[in-house]
Amino acid sequence: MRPHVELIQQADLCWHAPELPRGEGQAVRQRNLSYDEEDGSASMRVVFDKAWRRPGGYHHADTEWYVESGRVRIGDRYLQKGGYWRAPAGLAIPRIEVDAGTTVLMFREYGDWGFSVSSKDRAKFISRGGNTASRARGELTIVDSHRMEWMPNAYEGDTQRFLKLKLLYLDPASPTDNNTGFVTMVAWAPPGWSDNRLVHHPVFEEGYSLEGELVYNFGSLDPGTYFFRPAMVKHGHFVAGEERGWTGFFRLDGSLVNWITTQDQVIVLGNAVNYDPETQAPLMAGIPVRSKSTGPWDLDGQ
Amino acid sequence: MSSEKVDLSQIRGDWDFHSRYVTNAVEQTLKRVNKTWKQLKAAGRKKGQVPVDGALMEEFMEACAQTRALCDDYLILAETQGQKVTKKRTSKRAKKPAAAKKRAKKTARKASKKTSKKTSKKTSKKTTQKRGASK
Repeated sequence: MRPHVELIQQADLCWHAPELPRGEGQAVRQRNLSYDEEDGSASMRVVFDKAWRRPGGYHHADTEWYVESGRVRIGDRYLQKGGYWRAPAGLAIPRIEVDAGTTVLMFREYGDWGFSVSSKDRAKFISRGGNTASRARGELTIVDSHRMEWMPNAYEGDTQRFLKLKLLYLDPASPTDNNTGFVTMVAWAPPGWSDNRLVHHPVFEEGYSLEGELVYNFGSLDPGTYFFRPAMVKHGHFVAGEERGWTGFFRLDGSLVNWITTQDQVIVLGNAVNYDPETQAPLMAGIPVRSKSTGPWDLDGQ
Repeated sequence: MSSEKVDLSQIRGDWDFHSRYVTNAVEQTLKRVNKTWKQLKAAGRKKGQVPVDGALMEEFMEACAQTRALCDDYLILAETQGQKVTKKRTSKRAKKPAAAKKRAKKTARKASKKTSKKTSKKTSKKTTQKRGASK
């Protein structure tokens, strides 16, 4: 189970040794944005100070890479800023080479950092992913997001219809279970875009700010800020920056449904026996993980 | 996935609010297009040439792609402007049965008055005469 992280700035976090076994090249470091200590799922920002390479093989988790800067070669494809690839656990992928100075957003789901050097898949049948409802065979996805067109927000409810999307990976949810499948995308909130209501979803939502700014109930989404929001957590009161709006990288473990709250209020009842309820009131449980740059949460949208 | 048609009444603000938002977003993004284009031209080594790769060209191409994407919002606005008209029509249609109801109420009232007059004539002739005298 990943904790609710909202909101952190990646620059505030400490460095860890890389979780990239079987790789050749020493100067790699990572910042852990979110970590599931039960199954090893994680979201990391990895910096390759020197060139790095790894022979072909398969991951033990569904794995995604998004190139923030620099250059990555996977097989015969070169990926620069905005490049993305994804492979389900067990699927053999080609050799990878990374240029010195490259920064990658790296995501693992439903498994740990394990990697086996192999020219063959782990099994005869490799599924599309750990949360898939599909019976189709899993495959390697490679996308250059900077060459894709923005599409109107196609997701539920019309409520955020003026947002723009680039779908990098879509494993559709089952018609009978919305909480299956997986979505990875880049979203753009154009300049001045706003939504003054609160929204929650039946699926987790994870985001990393790439460009621009977006002020919302948990703070300000500036470049380098990150959140991992478990299902059912309200968020909203959005206002995008005027100059270039806001662009973020998103992951969801199912189909996005927007459930809307308006005129929200939280009423806490109880007798303060030996403290001042105005100045010494206890915090509500469930305060998310935050880092120093993002400051304390003013409980807007609680 | 959502339905194909947008219902702006589900989103903050009215049609004018969203129209102002789209226009502002287009203007801001066009500013970026023009700004980066000027910078590209200034960075060109020869007249009529601009650097065809690099961060500046990427920024220019992205701003152009975003401007094109915002054109989709005008299609949404055009579609929803139509919805506004249909809403008015439905409200006008809704008035008709209300008017018919009023007429029906009036006739019912008149009919009940007539019957009450007939009965009251028998019971209280003096009061009706007095009313008529006061006029």
